[in-house]
Amino acid sequence: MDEKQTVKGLDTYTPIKGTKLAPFLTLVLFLVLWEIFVRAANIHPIVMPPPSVAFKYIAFNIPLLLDHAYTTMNEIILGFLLSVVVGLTLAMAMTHFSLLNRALYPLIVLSQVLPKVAFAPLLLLWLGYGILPKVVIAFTIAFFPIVINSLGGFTSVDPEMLDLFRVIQANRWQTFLKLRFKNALPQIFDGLKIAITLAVIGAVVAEFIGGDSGLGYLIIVSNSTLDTPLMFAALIILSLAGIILFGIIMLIERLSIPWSFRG
Amino acid sequence: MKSNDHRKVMIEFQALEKTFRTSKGELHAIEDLNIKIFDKEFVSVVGPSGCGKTTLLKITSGLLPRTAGGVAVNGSPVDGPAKQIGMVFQNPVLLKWRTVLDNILLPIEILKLPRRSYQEKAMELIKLVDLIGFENFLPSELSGGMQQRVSLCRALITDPPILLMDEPFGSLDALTRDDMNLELQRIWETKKKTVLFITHSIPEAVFLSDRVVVLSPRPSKVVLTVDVNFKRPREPSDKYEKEFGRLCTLLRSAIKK
Repeated sequence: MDEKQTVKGLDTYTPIKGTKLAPFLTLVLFLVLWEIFVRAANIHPIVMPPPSVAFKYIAFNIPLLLDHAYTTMNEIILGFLLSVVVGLTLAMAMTHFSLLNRALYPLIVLSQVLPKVAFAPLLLLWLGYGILPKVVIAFTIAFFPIVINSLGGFTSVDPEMLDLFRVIQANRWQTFLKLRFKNALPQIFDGLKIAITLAVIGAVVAEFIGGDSGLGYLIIVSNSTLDTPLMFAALIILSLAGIILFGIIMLIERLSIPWSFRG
Repeated sequence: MKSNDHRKVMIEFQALEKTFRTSKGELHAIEDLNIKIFDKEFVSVVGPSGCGKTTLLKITSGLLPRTAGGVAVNGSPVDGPAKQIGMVFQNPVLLKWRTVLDNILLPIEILKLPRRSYQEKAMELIKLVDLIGFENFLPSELSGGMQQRVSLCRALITDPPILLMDEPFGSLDALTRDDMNLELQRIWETKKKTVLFITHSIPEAVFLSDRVVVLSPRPSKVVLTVDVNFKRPREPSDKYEKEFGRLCTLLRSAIKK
């Protein structure tokens, strides 16, 4: 079969050796430079501890840090999940009802331009000091990219594709599930990746303002007691948590839309 | 043509009219258009670009409403997409996340028909268009010609009596296009569908059709109908016959720019 030779994508793409290690190498390089800089400049650990001190601190305080990390993770994940559910539902409704789209779009933009730091004390006032206001603040920041990206994905469908679905007599729901939703997945995942990082920021900001536990709370407390190594330890754990969450979303993305990673 | 009149009429346009309302006023796309297409007939429509060929096809498939006049498919007036029509678009419009087989079975899924009983039929169609071994490939792994063959299978899976084709080979290179013409002829001989075929290419229209209809520039109406009486199956070498050239010249002179 001559045609078999015209088939694209049969040669599997082989990455150059070491490509997968590159991000780790930059991280290690960054830590080494940090260590050298702090020691060479003779900076006091209260101003900036070298990574070795920060990691030692982490090693000795694992239970404390994990305890606070657990609180923050809970807030982040709940806020994120809420933003996924609300964001996707809103985008879906706005795709199908243009009146709703026009009515809600300005409100959604408004909700985003409003500075959350200014808004957070109000939420604490209304919702108390438990986990709820933190989840809500994480949600209010995270849902924006999900709505905008999903809406973009749902509505940017090739018109000829829509004609096809009409010709084969698909109803609105079938067209949504089998065409619009699938078509939007790459964009939705882009939105989710932005949203998860925003949810981290939201949860930490909420803890800054009114928390009694969590990594954000730990940062604020350590700042006021000049316990800079603890602050760095909390920051490192927080970034690790953020990177892990981001990685999980990327993994789900790879598994659920393999077609957009080929060719 | 008159001798054909006892045959069953599958598609009929009667004083068809289509006007678009645009921001710059009314656009008269089709005016007093009359065509009858008989059962198992292959009819091509050619005309200057922008003359409303695609509009005509969309009205036939129920994608666009008509302004006035009548369109009947298989005896009943068109008031929306219908099961008895299969459509092949300008582009393959395949879902890039579905394999060849799953793309072909999409209409079955939409109509909630049992997938299992159509799977065998899909495989038959895949064999018919010479794509055996590719059923689990994604569209991005196929060439343009192969993709268009998949979209032909998708249009045929529900076995509709009528096939509407909107310049299906327009985006293919000349050599692939010739291959596809031969293949379409072979498929049409096997499946015996009524085909309404839109094209820009006069030789393609003559090669494939029983009848070629020339439309005028906007507002479109029929300016010429030519019967093509070459015996079937037609060979690529037929294109160099004197009669083939004569028909092409006749059609070309009827198409006003």
